[in-house]
Amino acid sequence: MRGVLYYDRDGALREQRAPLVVIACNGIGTPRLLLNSRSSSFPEGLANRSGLVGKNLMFHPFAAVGGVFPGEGIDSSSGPIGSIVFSHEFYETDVRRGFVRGFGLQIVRQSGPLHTALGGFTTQRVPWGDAHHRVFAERFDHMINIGVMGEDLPEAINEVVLDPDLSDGHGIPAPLVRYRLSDNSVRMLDFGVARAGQVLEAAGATDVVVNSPLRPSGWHLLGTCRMGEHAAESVVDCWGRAHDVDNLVIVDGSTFVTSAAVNPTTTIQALALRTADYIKRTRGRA
Amino acid sequence: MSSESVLEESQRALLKAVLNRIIPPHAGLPGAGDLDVGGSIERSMAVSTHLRRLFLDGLSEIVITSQRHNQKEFGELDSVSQTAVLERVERAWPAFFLAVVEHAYRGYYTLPAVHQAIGFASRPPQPLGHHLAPFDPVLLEKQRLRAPFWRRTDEPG
Repeated sequence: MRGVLYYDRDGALREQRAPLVVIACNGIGTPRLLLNSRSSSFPEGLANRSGLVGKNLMFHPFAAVGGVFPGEGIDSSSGPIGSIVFSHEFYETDVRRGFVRGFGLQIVRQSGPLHTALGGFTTQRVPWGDAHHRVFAERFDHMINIGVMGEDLPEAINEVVLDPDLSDGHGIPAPLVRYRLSDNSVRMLDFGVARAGQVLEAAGATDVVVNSPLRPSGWHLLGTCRMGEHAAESVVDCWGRAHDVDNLVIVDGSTFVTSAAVNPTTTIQALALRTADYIKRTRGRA
Repeated sequence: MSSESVLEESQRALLKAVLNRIIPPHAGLPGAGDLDVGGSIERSMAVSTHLRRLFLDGLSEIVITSQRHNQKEFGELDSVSQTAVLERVERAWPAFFLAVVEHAYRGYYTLPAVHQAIGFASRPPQPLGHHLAPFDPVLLEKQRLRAPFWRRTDEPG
């Protein structure tokens, strides 16, 4: 490829030529860019001869489980909030559980008064009206939460395509995300929620609040330009270089083949640094 | 009328009564309406056409619902009837009602008087605030003694 086209701040279309183009728009932005970059050489989108650009979208199925601890407050609105305790005890496959792969458990403290009233970690709002103050008092400084974060499986039906109706201010089609929670993920979350409830009850919780799956949890956008050895089965090679376009490199979550059950940023950073080393080592030879 | 005033007096009184029903008086603290949470909502309405339209339409619906089912103004109803009116509006106008509740909570739970009443002290983030006791490694002794339950990546899966 010769470079990129972009709109400047005044709305003028510009061309930036480049010997190498690096894309880092993650699991939705990257396939949107490639699918919109059609030409006679790539009628289905740039670097998409495999037809896999946009396919195998993975999130991290997530459940929020909160335990309410009666009696004296436990100061749970204070201290570090994320992953105070982190468990991978159920991370690996055990087919006796009824699903493949596994999940991590993250213990998260409750938040301050406003976030508690608005629903806190489990996003279940304290009711308005006569019950408001009683329920607020039960939860504020009396809750510990556990997040169940599962490993999503790559499935072709979960995908990013171009929206036939919606476009941005320049008329460029927006991404359309199609995703459904797999049966495997549903069973995984059910199992994880039960384990989290056991932990909280063993610690003294008298009430367990569950929100599963947590709908706003599509934070990690992975898998839509998967990495692999063969051009027919993947979009980029082991260095993030597009099989179909020698001077196009992708360094973001879209190249993940599996999702793992951990936050992906450090892995994306490691892959980006590895690819940067590769580019530096092979500069002028690509 | 100041630039931040977008409500008529009757609408302001209605909003105050609604807020007092959403977060009623409790343990010596007035309700959200009497703590002037409505004032912060009105300031938000002054800078957002969307919010202004949403709240004005929603307040009108409360007036209509109250008259239709009780033949009285909302402010004249007892708390049970007020709750019934708001529950009807919540079902019929969920976007408006969600906005009212969220604005009520945001206004109420950021008031210093409320923080004091519930025993919440706002402190700076660590390391300047929220000091923690040193970690006791003995807590993990049981876990350290367990056999690995993970798979080494340099061995076949």
